[in-house]
Amino acid sequence: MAAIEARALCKAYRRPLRAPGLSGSVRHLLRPRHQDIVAVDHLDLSIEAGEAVCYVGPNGAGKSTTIKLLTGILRPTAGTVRVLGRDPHRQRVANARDIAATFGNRSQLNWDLPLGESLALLRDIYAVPQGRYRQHLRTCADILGIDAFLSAPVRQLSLGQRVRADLAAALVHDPKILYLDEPTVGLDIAVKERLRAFLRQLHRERGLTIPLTTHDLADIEDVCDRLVIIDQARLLYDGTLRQVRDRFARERVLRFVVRQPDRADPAGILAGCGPVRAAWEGDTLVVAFDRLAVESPAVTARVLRAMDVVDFHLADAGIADVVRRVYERRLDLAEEGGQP
Amino acid sequence: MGVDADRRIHGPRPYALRVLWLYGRMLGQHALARLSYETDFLLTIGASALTQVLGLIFLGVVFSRIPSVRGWTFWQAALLYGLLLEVRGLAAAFGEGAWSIGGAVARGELDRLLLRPLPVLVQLYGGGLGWSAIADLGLGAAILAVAGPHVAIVWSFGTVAALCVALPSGAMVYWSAMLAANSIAFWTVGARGTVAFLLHGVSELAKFPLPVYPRLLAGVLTWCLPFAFLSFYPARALVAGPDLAVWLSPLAGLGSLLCAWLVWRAGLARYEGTGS
Repeated sequence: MAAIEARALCKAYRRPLRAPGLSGSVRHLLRPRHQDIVAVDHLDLSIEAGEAVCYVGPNGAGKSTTIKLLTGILRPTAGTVRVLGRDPHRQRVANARDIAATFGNRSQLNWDLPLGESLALLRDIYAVPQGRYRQHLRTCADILGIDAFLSAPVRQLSLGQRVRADLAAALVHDPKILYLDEPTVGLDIAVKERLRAFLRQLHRERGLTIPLTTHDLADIEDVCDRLVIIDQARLLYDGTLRQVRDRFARERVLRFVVRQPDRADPAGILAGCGPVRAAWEGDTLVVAFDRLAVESPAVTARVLRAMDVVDFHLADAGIADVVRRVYERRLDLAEEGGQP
Repeated sequence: MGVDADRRIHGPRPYALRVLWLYGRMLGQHALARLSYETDFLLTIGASALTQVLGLIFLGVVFSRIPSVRGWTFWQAALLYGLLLEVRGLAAAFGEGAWSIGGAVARGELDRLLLRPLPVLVQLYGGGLGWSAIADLGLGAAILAVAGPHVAIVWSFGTVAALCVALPSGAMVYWSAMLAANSIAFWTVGARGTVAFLLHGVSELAKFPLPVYPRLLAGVLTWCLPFAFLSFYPARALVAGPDLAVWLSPLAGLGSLLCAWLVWRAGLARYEGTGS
């Protein structure tokens, strides 16, 4: 059975409809009107134990709501969730022992307490044996460097330190599932790298199940092996990273900088390579094609034979391009192949 | 060395006992953190003490004009006043968590508590002690010590037993009122603690003997918002011996607790239903 199983999961919020200003507030008080906002619309999702799944979508797409439904914080409006065989909302306490979650821009720690105290309290809340706790502290010191600020109150930590502290706190009880809501938001590149390395290690060595949401596309490529795209409360795409690349990110662009270009139509040279688009940009010949339909060496060989090429550059469309197209509503996933 | 073999787990194992232990541990941590902000801590207690002294001066002024109010002498009224400070102070000391509900709802901090394998209320109340109650408890004890010898207290086994029942019940009434009133934040989200402040204001009425109020108000303070159980009924038991009302005070206490718990449950269900 899958570690996380959602079936036709729905969540609707009621938002007050209120005209601006005092008169609007008064009118709302007398005759309240509400609007139902659907945050998650018939979501089917199945995550196996040990998978690292990236959850991507524009702001307001329903990512955080989904995480809150899966962690048991919110009650679904309709549909079912099963996490490790339990209903995470009804069996909140039992579920909480097996999972952990961090929310990027909100700390899970007590601001007034030194980090060490908070971690010790979590050790006692989850009844973690002393030996395992000490081992956890050592791991976190080695990889996250938390030993440098264990005795500082959390309010005095920098954002980078606080995020590392949050992660250390989330893992005290050795959870089976770690939900991460925008884990790298606001961090500098060095801390991001460190965090991703740690997540990779948790995923590959400890087999931790990691559902994570992000806007940082490097998080996806570095940590996850599966991508789920949602927009406007609906699931748009669910598949492995490789499938995404092969289905939507197939365009390859070759650029040849040519000495003394003749700017002649390159169609003649490239005849027989397959469907390619070629054009001149100044002294550069730009050739674009589907990398699965056309062989790059064939294109390159023909161009090199025909022209005096001084420089050469290759660019593939990546996950980033696919996601950007989704965000800009320029990619119709259903049309380009749809669900696998 | 076999560090991994160290399977020692801190604290008791049985769940109920463990939750209680964790509650105490959280309060201990909070106390340590709070004491590290000395100035703020002393200011809190000082401000609270000043408020109570002003209240006492007011009481003195009233009785200097009128030596006895509805059969209650100044010293009897002072005894009642001291009882209120003790009972309400006790409830406030361990009821601080209720005041954090509004902020936790507005800022979505309840999410964090819902992710931990502990009852949410235990986590809320474990998050803080009502330090300003120290001043109330100290002042209340002083008033009781001074007023006691001036009042002919009916000491009997019955009186002691009645107090043992009535004082915790009174504390329960105030504690529940604050929980219920602060839980309204689940519906209002933003108007923080307004109703709770109002109810606290109403509990100030318990500083005076119930007969000084109109019948309707006295009825409300017994049957609807049973703040009369904070001070009046226990004080009357001391002055005139235990009566039916003081024996029924557990009903007021447990009834308030039940109502507050229902309001809290409904509010939490609403939060879990709608999100932050």
